Amino acid sequence: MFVSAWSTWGVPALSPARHSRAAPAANANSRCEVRVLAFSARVHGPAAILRSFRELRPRAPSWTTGRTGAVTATFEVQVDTPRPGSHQLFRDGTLLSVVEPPIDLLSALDAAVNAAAIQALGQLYLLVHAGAVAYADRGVLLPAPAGSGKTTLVAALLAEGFQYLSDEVGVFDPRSWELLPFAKSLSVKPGGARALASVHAELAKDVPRLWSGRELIWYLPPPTAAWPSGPVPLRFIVLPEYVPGARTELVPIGRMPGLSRVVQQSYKLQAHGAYGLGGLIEALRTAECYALTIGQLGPAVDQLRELVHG
Amino acid sequence: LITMVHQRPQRVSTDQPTPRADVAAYPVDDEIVLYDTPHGQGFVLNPTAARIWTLCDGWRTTAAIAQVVATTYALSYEQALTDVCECLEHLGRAGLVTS
Repeated sequence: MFVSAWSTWGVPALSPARHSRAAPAANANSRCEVRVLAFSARVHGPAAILRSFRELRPRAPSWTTGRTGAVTATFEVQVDTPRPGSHQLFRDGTLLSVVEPPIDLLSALDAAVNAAAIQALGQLYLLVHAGAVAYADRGVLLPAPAGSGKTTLVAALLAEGFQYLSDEVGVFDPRSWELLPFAKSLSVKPGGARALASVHAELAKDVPRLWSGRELIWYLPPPTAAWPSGPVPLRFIVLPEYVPGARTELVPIGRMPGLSRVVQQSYKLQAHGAYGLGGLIEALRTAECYALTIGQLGPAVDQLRELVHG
Repeated sequence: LITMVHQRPQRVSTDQPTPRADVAAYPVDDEIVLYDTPHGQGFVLNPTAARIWTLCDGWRTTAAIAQVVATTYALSYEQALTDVCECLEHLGRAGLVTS
């Protein structure tokens, strides 16, 4: 095979179904703001709901939000009066979904805000569907499709003293090609919650558990001290894959498989054109690439710790 | 993620193959990533194709390229010419080289 075409560029854009119903006159009695890098969202809704929503969202480190300008999305939660217990979720005046029961509402709102942030920030930064952590200014990108164990691995690494960038969205600054944080809580699934019980005791009692429509999600906020103090150079690309019962091993791979995975898991890379691809390749030149098969969480964390300490 | 170019290659003249000017090339280890800017499409060249790509300068003929490949990879000239022609047909089919 001489020539291979990258037939797939990136993960699909997150575009929740929209309906034509317009938002009714505001009956909201509270509001809050969410900031992720240059993205800013304003959320209106019942005070009790927004109070709970604020607890889900970590405060982004101040050095990441200095360039924030105008609000780029407005969300509104309305009680669906014909159906008690249901809520309507609007974005910029357009109905996104009717959420029932209330336990689904916060996770739906959180997902909608994250999707809007990805949509807006994808124009300014190169975004990759990936976990991202750092240790001593050495950035580790963990690009992988859903279900590969990114969040569980990131949460376990935080317990080992790693710094937190994201459990889901790796952000490259296209000026420096360094990694930036994407401020969201870790969204831990049931399997991950079980695996993390020994290192994150708060999962058992102190962390909100919400129904996402398909499964329970534990919202684990990163400790404030876990944020890095500035952009982090990329030093390692690790492709994680959770394989139950497999032997846990970290194996060096070439840069091309690492690059291919990053391209596959990117959001809107084509919008950045040759400049984006070229910059990404330059960033990879100083990075080592590995494949990590995760049979057990503990040994996987041990091997990554040894890698970054080395 | 990566798929072969399966279509039957169109016949292209490869006498003096030339990379298209609006195709960006990025070496990655011993392979090359090409980015077709107008079409927003990326390609990966394996090490042999990468070597052939770097020899396509608009001056070297296909025969001259095959000679270098034969020497580099210790192939017979006939085998090298077959491989070079196949590779150039793939590159031509993808619109990455002209002759």
